[in-house]
Amino acid sequence: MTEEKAVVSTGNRLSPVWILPIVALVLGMWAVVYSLTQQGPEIEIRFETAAGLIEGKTKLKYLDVDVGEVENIRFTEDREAVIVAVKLDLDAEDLLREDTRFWVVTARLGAGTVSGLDTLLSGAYIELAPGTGELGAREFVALDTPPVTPPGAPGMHLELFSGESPSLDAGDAVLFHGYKVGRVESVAFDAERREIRYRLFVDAPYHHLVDSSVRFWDVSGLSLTVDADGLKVSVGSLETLVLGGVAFGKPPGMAEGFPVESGAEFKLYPSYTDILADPYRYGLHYVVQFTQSLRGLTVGAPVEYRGINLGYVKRVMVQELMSLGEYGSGEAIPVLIYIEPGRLHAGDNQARLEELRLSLEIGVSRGLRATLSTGNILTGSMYIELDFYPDEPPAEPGVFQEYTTIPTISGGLSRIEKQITALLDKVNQLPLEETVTGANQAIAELTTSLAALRKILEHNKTQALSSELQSTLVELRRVLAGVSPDSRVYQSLNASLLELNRTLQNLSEFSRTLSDRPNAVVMPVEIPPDPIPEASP
Amino acid sequence: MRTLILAAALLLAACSSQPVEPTRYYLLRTPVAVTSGDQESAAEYSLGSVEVATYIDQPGLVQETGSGEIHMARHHQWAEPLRISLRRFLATGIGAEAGQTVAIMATSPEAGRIDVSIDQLHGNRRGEAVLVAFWQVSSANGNVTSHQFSESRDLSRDGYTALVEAEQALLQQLARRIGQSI
Repeated sequence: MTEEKAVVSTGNRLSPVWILPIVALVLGMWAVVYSLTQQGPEIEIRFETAAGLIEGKTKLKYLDVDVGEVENIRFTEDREAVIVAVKLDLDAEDLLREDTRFWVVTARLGAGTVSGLDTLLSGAYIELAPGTGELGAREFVALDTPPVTPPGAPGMHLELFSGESPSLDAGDAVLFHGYKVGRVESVAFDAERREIRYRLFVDAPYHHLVDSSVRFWDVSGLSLTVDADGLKVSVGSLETLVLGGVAFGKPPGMAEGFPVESGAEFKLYPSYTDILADPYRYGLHYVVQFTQSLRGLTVGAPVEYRGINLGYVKRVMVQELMSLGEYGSGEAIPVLIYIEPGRLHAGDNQARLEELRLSLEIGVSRGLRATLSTGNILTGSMYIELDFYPDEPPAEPGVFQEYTTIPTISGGLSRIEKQITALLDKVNQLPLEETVTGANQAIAELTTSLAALRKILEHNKTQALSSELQSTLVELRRVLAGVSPDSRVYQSLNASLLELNRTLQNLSEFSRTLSDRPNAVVMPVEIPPDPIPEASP
Repeated sequence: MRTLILAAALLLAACSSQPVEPTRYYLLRTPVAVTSGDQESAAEYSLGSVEVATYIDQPGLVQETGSGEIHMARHHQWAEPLRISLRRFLATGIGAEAGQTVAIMATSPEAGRIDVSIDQLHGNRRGEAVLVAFWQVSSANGNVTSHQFSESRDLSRDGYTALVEAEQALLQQLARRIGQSI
């Protein structure tokens, strides 16, 4: 009897029962991976408040297209602002750059504009303006107000600075010849430089109008001028009358400028008249020190080079002089002057400024000096004149506090006074007495010489000399008559000349023939017949 | 040998001269009758300089052949240089017109002076003779007056003889004009 043995097989084969769970697992994992790979980036934006923002509802839009949605809103750790987490679509990744800007769009009623009316019904949304910086940023700070300039608009940003109180506001117009070509984007106060800074945007293609020669002035409101011509009212435009604005243009007589980069800085003048009074941007400060009276020298007095206006006197630096603390030493009084290269019509820019600085420095070593000159004798008004005095000993520009100094020499009346004194000194030193004695001696000698001369002239022989001279002249006249046109010598000379003339003429004809026909010496010359003059029919 | 002779004959034949047109010479003399006899004592005026343009200052007669192009005749020439004959011609002509003697040469510095400059004297393409001249009369008292003359005259027929006749008539006209100006 055979013993039956149970066949034991190891369970290494998977039961078909497992197929379903495995498929389910693979599908599940694929779904997870798919959803992970299809997820867009998540970013966090810091807002001052969460006004109008609702979790799971508020959209993030770019150019009015949804690119994401608010997921979560929470406080910052210090509970002073809110962090809004926004989930973006996958394809919106490249909008996230380090300088991308975000702001909330709601209905706004501004001075000049009404915007975002559609959000009254649809609810607020977050708008973004992609930047140009590096990709990959995930944390942003939102803007308080929408940027005035639409994102990516072609044009140019400019900066204006002004020491006056602010009269412009964000959104105000930028005008060129009364036409709106841009707007003020933002106003800020620079505490360090103590000036108001305005950020402007000039739309393309008008940004080409801005170059280094233009000046900006405030045209807010209206300006009233009363002068000898009557009452003058000037208004930029109706919009600027109500809202304010800034105009720019090229002052008359200004040299051509060069193009400026985006972000260039300009000074904002309070009015157009201020530009006409002081249209130049670049200038140099110098100090001139005088030991003479400054009576008649006022602030604003011209600084001239041989009559050409270079700049003006800024102030007499009495305060600085006092701070030196050297009382009673007769220290020279420093005067601050301001020299502008633009006045020479050479161009109002940094390069010209450097050229002027250099030429003044070289000039000083060659005798350039400042003097006080009288501009008007009646009023006694003075101005500062720069000129070359080659006789002056060579000098170098000095330093007074932070300013460079130009050496001075006393000018005007005091200079003349000095010269007269020097002249009188010289006259005093002349050996007058010795000179007079010498002159007396000379006169006595002259008298004796004249007496001797008279004796010679009265002598008989001297008188005979003149008759001899006369006879010589008669003889000379006779000789000269021999060569006059009537004389035979002249006639024969004339005939000889005529003969020579004829010979030369023949010779010239011969040479002409020879040059035409070099073989004319041995060969007979064949002269072509002359053209016959024809009478008019 | 025969070829050598033939070659020599040909060579010599090249040297043989052809009949040459003879050169004709023309004399420039004033048609004004010159009376013989004693001349008046002192001339009131004398001819100073008589200048001729360089292109006329050569023996050939000048004929315009193209625009700005001239031909100086080789077979038709002045018998005397124009500089010399013109002086004589003008002195006689001016004297006859003014009714007084004009000295050929400047004699005394006290007398008046006439300076003549001939700028153009040639036949042009329209069948005319052209004469352009300038003159200056400096009178004895120091007055100086300047004048100019520019005339043309049709040739009566073809040929250089007619050209000479026309030029002579123009020069005669110039002499009269100068005579009237003094």
